[in-house]
Amino acid sequence: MAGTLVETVGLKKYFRTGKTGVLETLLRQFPPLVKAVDDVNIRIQEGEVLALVGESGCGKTTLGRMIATLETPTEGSILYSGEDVSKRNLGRIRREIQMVFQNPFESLDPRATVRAIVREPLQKLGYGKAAKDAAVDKALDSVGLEHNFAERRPRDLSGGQRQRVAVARAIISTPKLVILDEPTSALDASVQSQVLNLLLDLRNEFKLTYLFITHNIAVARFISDRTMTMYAGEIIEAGPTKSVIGSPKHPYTQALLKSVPSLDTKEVAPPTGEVPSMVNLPPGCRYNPRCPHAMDICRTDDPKPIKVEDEDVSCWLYK
Amino acid sequence: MARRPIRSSGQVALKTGSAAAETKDVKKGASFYLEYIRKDKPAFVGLLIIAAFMLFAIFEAIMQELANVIGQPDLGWMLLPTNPLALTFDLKLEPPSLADFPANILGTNFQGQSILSRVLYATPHDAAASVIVVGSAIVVGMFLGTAAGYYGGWVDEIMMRLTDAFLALPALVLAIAVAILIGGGFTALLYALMIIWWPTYARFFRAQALTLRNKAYVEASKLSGSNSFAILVKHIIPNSVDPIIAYATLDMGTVILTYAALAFLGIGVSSDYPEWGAESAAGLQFFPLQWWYSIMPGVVIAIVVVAFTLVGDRLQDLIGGRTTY
Amino acid sequence: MDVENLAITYRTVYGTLKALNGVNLTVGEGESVALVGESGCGKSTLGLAIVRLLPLNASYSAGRLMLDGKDVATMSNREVVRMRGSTAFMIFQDPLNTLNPVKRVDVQMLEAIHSRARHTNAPFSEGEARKEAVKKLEDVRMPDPESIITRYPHQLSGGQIQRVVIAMGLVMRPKLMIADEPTSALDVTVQAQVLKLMRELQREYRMSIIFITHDINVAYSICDRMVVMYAGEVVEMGEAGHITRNALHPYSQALIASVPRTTKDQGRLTSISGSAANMLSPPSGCRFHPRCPYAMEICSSKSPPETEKDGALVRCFLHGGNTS
Repeated sequence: MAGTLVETVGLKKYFRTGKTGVLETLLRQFPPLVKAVDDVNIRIQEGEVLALVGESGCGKTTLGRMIATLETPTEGSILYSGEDVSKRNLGRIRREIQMVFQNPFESLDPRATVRAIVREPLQKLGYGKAAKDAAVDKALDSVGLEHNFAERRPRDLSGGQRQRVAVARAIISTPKLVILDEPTSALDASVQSQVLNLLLDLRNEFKLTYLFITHNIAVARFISDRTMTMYAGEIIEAGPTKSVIGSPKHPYTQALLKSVPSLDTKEVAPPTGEVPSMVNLPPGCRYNPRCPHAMDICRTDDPKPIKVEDEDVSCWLYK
Repeated sequence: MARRPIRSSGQVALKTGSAAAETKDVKKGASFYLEYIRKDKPAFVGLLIIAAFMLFAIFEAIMQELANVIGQPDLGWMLLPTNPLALTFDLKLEPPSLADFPANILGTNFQGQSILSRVLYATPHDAAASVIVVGSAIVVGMFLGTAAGYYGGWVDEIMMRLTDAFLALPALVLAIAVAILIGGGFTALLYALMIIWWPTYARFFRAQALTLRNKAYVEASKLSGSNSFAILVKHIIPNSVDPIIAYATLDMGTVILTYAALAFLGIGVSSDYPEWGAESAAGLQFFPLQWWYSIMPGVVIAIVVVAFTLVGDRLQDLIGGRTTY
Repeated sequence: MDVENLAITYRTVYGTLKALNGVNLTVGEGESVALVGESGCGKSTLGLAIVRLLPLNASYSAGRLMLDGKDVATMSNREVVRMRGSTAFMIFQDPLNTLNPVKRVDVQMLEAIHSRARHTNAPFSEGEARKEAVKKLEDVRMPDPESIITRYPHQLSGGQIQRVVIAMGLVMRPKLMIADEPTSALDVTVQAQVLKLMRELQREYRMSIIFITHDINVAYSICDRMVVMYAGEVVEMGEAGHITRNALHPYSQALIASVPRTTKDQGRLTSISGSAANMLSPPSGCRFHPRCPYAMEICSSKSPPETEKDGALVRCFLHGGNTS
């Protein structure tokens, strides 16, 4: 039984939508609060691919960035193999985490060579120059790029090639956890399939753990073992992918699935209404204004996760 | 609100290029800039003028230094048509003519000296001023601005208030005051200009750092174990410099203009050095009858400044960045 | 709309680029057609060509583009202005860049109504126009139109802006709506809402739609007929369900097989080997042949003609045109 790699406890990230300067503090008039991530408790098991699915503004990117230690939580803690993050162990923990970003045009330094980009994670690990070059070549092999790509610069590469370089950079130091934030959203369909296949192969070969953030449920279904759906800052459903996507329990997950155009259904059936404004959340369950099954309790109390079969669902329907 | 990146193919006019960029090695760097400037005739002419100006200034400076060191003053005007410092009153105030080419094409001044020779004699100061002032401004601005933009907090506040202070004071007045306080003369004027020239660059580098520190590749660098200093040196500064090249080129022209203006007022002028601005000022009393004495140095200043402007503008087109900060 | 053998060429710093090459396409009244393909295939170019919005370095180098009986390529400027909005209108991908950010929604909608009144020489009254604007917003299923109409674009979400843009287009009662990736920048649920809306509007207004997208799933949900494009050519065209169930061209097949599905387990996704065609010097013969698993000798030397097979139009030697 694989161990728990990452565990978040009561994780919260609140933002103010404006400046909090001297004036604001004196007058006690603060700009509105955005509860981007609100009390999230998740576990990432070693070796699994965990998909975090949601639409824009739901907090999935913020959650991913906090786990990547790029943002500090407002409240709550993140445990890495049982250890809490502090100034002392930040460097050590960061070495075990890597990230692949969404925009292939922004995630590589436009002035650096591919070699410089890919070998950057190897710094301060005691590698000599020759060892670093060998590692770069091996990483490029793993992602299917020829060695002569090492001397080129990002501007000469296509979107798919850049993402491969980003993936090479992410795996070169064999991290324990790779966080991927919409890695294929900006790519064409044929390139997307290549990159997704590649990610799966790499995971199997190097025994990696992925946190795969995406808005695309079909991609989540393809690549992940477990899936979590997120809505307005909360995890509303979590469980094995086959369950969550195959037979979704939460009305939002169900609506999400019915909204995805697919070659199997001619018409889409979207939910009504819009994602709530994060500065003005509805009371009770955040989905209640749009939910076809909304009950009285939904409008007053925010549901906590309940065990339903092999999933955790935050919905009063399952009390 | 959804904010997915728009695929590069969404922009039609650019799309046709991106398909080619996949396979073509688009060269950047010095050769590319050169090629680009060459395509625009005015800019190319400007580049030639700048090159001639700088090269001549270097040689003339060497000769003048040699003249000082060895003690042979006429080395200083070996490259010039005539002796710019000799008093030959019988040739005084001759209008521009083709006689004695090329000594007389700008005419002569009150002391019979060829204005052309005097102007050429003074080029090292202007060339040095433009390079040194802009160069130092870039260096100082880079350090202060990048640090302020990247670290934020009180470092940023202090630097911003500092630049505000400098920008609030009228630059020329400040330069004059500093030059007089330090003691007058060419080096004093240089220091004065250096002191007032950096704030714009600091703001520029700060703006760049603010944008770049949020870039994904900076975050990737953090995850790779780079500390702030490494990130600044490896990622932020190299990517800040590109847009500044165009502005700096334009700015060198501005330095020459400012320098000439101060020399016109008599700041930083020593009696035996024919600064362009000073020459123009000296010629004022003979205006408009002997108009060439005052106008011709001005024409030379204009030509050089316009040359810088043409090249700078052309580079600006290429980079497409903002021109004022 | 009737496109005959259309070719569009771009002059670029790298050379001439034939973005469209011999495209034939007919769109009937009230019909919904999807142009599907990846970046560089020419689908956006075709959309822009219909409303004469191509950039300055593009030219209609061959063929005809007949819109409502007139050739768009040879129209005078005045005819083009009249055509845009009343015969055909276009919506684009980025909602924020389509509306004027410094004008309120009602001002912009009134502009559209005023423009229509001028073209049709009809009387214009602001009160009537306002009522019509609100009515149009209701038509696009906008909740609370009275309040939306007083807002600025930056106060609206992407989905709302797209609805406003569609409403503005509908003001002119166009015969053809061209949508270039209108939902790619939107969330999944919002995209579904906009797609459903467009389907309903198509039926209510008897409007033809040309929907440009790279996503074959989206194309399938919105269109009656599907047109698959690759490297500036139409490689397959036919009824939507027919193509998705039984694609004939290897590229269409690969496109369908490479997309992950929500409803079934896939061990690996099919990917298309090679990379997109270089439009500056496209491959000889059939443009897809370097990437085609079924390429034959003739494919590299001759370009396959359009042949009809099983009710679909295919450009592939596997299915005809190979007279050797």
